[in-house]
Amino acid sequence: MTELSLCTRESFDAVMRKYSDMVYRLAYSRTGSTFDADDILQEVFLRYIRADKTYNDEEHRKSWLIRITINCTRSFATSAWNRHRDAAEPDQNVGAEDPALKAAETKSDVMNALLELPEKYRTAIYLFYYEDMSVAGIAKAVGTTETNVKSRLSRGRDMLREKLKGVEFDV
Amino acid sequence: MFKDDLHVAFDNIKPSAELLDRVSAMMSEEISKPRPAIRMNVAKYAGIAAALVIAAGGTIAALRMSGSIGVDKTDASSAVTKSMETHATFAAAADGASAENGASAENEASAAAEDPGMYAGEEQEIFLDDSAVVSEFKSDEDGVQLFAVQEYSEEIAEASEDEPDSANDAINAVGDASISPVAPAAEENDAIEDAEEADFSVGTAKENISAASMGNPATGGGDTMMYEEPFAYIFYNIPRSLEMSVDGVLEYSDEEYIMGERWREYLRSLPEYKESARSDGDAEPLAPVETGEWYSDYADVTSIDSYINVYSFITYFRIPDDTVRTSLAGIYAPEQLDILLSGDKAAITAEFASGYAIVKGEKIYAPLWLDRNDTAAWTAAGITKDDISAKYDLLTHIPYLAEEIQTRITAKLDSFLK
Repeated sequence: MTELSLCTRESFDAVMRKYSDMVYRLAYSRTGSTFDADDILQEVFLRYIRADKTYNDEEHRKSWLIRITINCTRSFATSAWNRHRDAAEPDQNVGAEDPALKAAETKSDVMNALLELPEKYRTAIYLFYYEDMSVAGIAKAVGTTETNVKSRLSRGRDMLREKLKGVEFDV
Repeated sequence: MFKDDLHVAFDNIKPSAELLDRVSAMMSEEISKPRPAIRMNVAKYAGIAAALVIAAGGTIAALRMSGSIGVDKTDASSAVTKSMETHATFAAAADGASAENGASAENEASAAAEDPGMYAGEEQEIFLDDSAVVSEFKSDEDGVQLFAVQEYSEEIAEASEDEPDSANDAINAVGDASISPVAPAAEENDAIEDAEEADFSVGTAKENISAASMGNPATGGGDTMMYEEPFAYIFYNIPRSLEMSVDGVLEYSDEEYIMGERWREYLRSLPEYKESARSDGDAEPLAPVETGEWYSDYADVTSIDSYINVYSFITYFRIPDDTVRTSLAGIYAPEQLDILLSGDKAAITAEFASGYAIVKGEKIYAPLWLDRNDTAAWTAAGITKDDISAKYDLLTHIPYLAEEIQTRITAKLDSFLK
């Protein structure tokens, strides 16, 4: 992908194909709900279109999308609609219409443990271990320092070790 | 391995083909739309609104005299007042820095730094990117400056149909409320011409606080609400972590959100909050990548008690230690909270200042300070070549910083190190 500015349907489709999974999974990792992730995905790309930015490179674009996704998950969580939901109520719809998803989730203590982490640790762990981002890349994407990212990864791992006995981290 | 397990867990989580088709179709429509002028697009943007209210010192005194909030030392309170004024001035001036208007906005910010009174009696619209407009108005009351970022949200219109049972329910029912600025009634606000009609009124912050203005369906979400300082300002700023704020870099990180929610819960519980009609102030700080606003923050900040942050907040309001620990649990480690509550400002500064700041004892020198001051001032502040060398890589690669500013800072750093 060489086109770094968004100006056509074709270039947008290419961007969406490349990053929709990442945006969706990041949104899911932060909300725990595929339904919320659906809405957030749409909002992220709407903002992407409207920003109509030019990016220095693909890393810049990726960082921007991550940042917007994080922002969207927050504004979504504080929306009037979401406030009327019971915060303690688990998302009953997760996987309800997707057997593969539901099967994956019921098997995954890892996912549950991740979703129980505080947001900042959860995001760092997800981006590092799933998206294979570097510490520097994560720092830039979420807008913090590398020191903070390392700290969050370290604390996130500690928390996961408590929740997932015997879990091993290769880093 | 955890990584493998994580992939097993997440590989099946992806958007459906139907969703992608739908998004693609929506975006196709959006792409085909003519690009609106920045100032016109306010109404089209869903989501957030933020309001900054800086009240005269008298308002703070009035709140204190009510006995419902802690009376803190004059140093902290005056610093808080001053910092809010400084922040709001800069925020209003520099938030409008779009790529085309960057130089203009910076000039405005510089001018404001030199003479905040330049905005007295003037209405100034400062455009962010295509998401919002910041309007600054000077009210009739001396020292009261009001800022509002107004956006239209369908959620507001929906939420405003709720019947609030209490002040807090009313606040929540409004949702991400738009806040209209106080403006001379005769003046037209071009920035919201596509929005539902907003209710503008002339007057002071106190006079315009009205529960009836909340959740007004007739306005479709463009409600007029004024914040009584300092709560509104706190709501806007307190989500920012101490760590972020000390270096002037806007890290819109997770802890901001969590902390903001917890502080809002605490503040809502205060009697003086319940008595006033307020939005819950859950406006989302605009991400620096969208607005570049971070650079405008805290231009002259050099210590943690000279502007709004977690430390000055808990000090000013005398938040009990156990409340602080409960609110910030999970955001900071227990040992960090020990430091935060220790009263040792040098230790607090050292612990929470981020890598982009140069810390000298209790003093903080953020990238913005370095940019705004010459190298002679750096030396006078005790900043050494070793200090700069240690931070060189960070300071020459500040995330989301406008290129021209980064170039300028880098040149200064190189000059200092020669």
